[in-house]
Amino acid sequence: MKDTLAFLREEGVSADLIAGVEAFRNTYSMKEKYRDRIPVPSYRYYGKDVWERALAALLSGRNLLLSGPKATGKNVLCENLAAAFAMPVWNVSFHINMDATYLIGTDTFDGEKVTFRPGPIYLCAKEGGFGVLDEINMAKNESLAVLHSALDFRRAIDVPGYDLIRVKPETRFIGTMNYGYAGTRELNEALSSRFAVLSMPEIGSADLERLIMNSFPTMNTKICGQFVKLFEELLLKTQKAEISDRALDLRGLLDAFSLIEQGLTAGQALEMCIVNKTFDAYERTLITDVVRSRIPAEMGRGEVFGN
Amino acid sequence: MIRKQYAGNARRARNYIWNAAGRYDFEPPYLAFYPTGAVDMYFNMVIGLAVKWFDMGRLKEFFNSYAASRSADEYDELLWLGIENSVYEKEISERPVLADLRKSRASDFFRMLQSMSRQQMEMQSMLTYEQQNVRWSEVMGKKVFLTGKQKRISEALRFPGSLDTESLIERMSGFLEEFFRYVPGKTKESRSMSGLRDAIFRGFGKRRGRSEKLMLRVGDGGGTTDRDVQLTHTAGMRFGFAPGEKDEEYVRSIFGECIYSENEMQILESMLCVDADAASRLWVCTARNTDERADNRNAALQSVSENKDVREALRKMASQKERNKKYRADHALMIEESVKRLTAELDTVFSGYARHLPEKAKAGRLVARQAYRMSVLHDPYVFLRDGDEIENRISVTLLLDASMSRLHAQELIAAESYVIARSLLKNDVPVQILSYRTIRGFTVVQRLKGLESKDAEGVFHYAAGGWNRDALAFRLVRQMINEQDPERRWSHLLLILTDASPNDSMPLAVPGARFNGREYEGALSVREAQKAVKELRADGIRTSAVFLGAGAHLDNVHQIFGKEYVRISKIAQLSDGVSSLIEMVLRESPPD
Repeated sequence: MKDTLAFLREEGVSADLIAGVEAFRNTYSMKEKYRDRIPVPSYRYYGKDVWERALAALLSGRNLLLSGPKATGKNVLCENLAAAFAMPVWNVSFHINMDATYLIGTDTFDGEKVTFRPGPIYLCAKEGGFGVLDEINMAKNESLAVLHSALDFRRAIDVPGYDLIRVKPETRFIGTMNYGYAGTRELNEALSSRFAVLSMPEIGSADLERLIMNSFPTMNTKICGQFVKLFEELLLKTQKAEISDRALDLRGLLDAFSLIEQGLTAGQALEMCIVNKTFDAYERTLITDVVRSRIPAEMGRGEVFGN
Repeated sequence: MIRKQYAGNARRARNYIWNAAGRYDFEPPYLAFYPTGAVDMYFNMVIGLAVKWFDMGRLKEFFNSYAASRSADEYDELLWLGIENSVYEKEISERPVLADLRKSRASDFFRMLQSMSRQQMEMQSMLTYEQQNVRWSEVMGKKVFLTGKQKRISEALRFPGSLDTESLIERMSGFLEEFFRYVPGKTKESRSMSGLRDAIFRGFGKRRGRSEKLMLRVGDGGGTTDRDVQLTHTAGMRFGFAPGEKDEEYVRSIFGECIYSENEMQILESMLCVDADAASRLWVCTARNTDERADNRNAALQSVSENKDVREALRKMASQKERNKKYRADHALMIEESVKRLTAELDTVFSGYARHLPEKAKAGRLVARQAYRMSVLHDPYVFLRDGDEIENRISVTLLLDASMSRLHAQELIAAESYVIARSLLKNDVPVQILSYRTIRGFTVVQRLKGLESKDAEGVFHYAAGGWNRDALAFRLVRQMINEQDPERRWSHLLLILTDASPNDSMPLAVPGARFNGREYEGALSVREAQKAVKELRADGIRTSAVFLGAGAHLDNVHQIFGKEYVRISKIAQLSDGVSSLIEMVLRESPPD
């Protein structure tokens, strides 16, 4: 896959912003041991406008909150941003039992003495890089309070009993959230005010087609068009609340292509990667109906990947 | 639960339509189902595509312009066949899978054809059948031989993909005018003409109306919105006259003597055959009577053909009995297992409502009348206490719909009733089994098993045929139950195994205008049945339904029985369904 900056140029992203990213890269170098943490994106994020907004926010030192429904590419954008800035990533998947010790660090016994074992936020702040706070609104607001000082102008974390950690200038935090998702909660104002919020749009058909064709270059373009339409139909059905968004799974759709490449029929692959994502039997029927009315179940590798 | 299933079926059809239309902001004017109640995927997509490609508002106006016609359903079927071709041609490049789906719809047509009974075939509209046959044969690459007219119709129905809304409407009205001489909004169907036409069709043994696929109108042009689940009446089978002596003989020859005397029947009929059922007659018989009839032809029948009809009917009923028994034998394991499970479930349900029979005791509730025995006879047992013996004080009546629409499920219905009856008997709950149908204006209630009998074998006499005038049958059964227990010492549960599609050849009677009465079908007949169920409940008879019909009729069952029904499609669901239904009914109104 080509360099992310070259991709951004192709996408027509503002040259000033790209120059800014290049300057950022040149200014901040990271330790060799963290080179593995720089992601190599599996998929590109398509959408010039979103790219420009995100780059501008990060270049100006803001933290970024990507908010949007499922399958809008929040995590793909995170990966792509880190790759563009060539920054290591610390991923934190938030959950209901998340607490300060998990984020900042905790005491541990190393065999001889009690030591501090740093958490991902601590490392990200201290070593420099992008902290990806995935599904940030899954955690309780109280446990997130510890992040406030790191995210605002103070840019510091006071670890009780240890040091005051200064957040490195190249450190950025990128939160993702799916508002209204089962298990999510309202993000409190104190936290959301510390982010620049980017509302993620749903992927357009042209972009989706490019995404698929880039990931599976040998795919028959006509068939690809049908899969794109299938995704649109599922999206519409989700928006109209006829089905939940469980089946609206872009990763699932791409996984299905991999399974078809391995020799499964389209019906089998879509069943595993899209239909079965929902566990309600009735909803599965509705999703199967949508799939059947667009993609022949028996279609196999030969048709999908043969032009 | 059931409501959800219904909602599911219709919702699934709607989803096909919305998905194909690419819009969700409209209520589909039609939904398509197979006769089994399953959703017809392809035709629902066709409806959706019609919304996508045409102005549905204009099309609806056109469809409504002939909705009052008695052939509206037939026109619907044919015109949608035409629209199918047009939207197929329009959409195929955009949605290549349509070619596969069309083929699969075609093979469904032929598959269903093979499984149709002769009676179902007879109910088929010949014209629609021919044209469907042509269309689906072409799709499958089969050759069909056509007469000149058939060919012209099939060509006319090949609406091209180039049509826009206005040219489609022009084409459709041209079609109706050319082949049916029907100009929507202008042609008035005269009753006498239709009568003549009906007679001709009857003469040639053709039946018009019902067809292989039910394209259901959701609301019609006549202003009623609840017509969506009815089967249409066959014009050739209209039975507009009050039954006469010949009909009575016919009923007697098939079902045997009425168990009530002539006087009793007159009283019953004067009470029950009123208003919409004014022209109807009643007949109550037992299964044994019918058995005897099988060997004994009624000499009173003058007409040779009627005699032949009776013989044929009796032979069929006898062979159905054998088939019912064979089904029981073939599925003995499953049936016994269901009996066991339902018995256990019912045991739990009834135990909550069981009453201990009182027994004499030295302590308990004093029986005042017996108190003298203590001082005079030194008998201390003048008290009553709850004994060990339990009496449920609940009796159940199973009422089976035995109309022709149940033809395809006779063995299953017999087996299910057998399971219910056996389970109730094992719980010491007396149960009687009645079946009902309407034939030649007579609503016949047949007692397959009496309350006192301890075995449930009688249910295997069950055989379907005829119409069902539900409301009248329910009222008759209400009388029978009231007569059995005039003092109301028991709690009565009435379980009706039904497809919730009341339908009779004799119209609703309208005083002074009998022959112009409205057909006994659809919303009107459902409302009648609903009234009858209310009357049953008002009499303290806890009435509920076990629904064994097409999903398309679920709306009816809900209207007639409220929430007190359960939907069953196979025996395995009986134990859960029936026990929770009985529990619900008892909970709603516990026995006194």
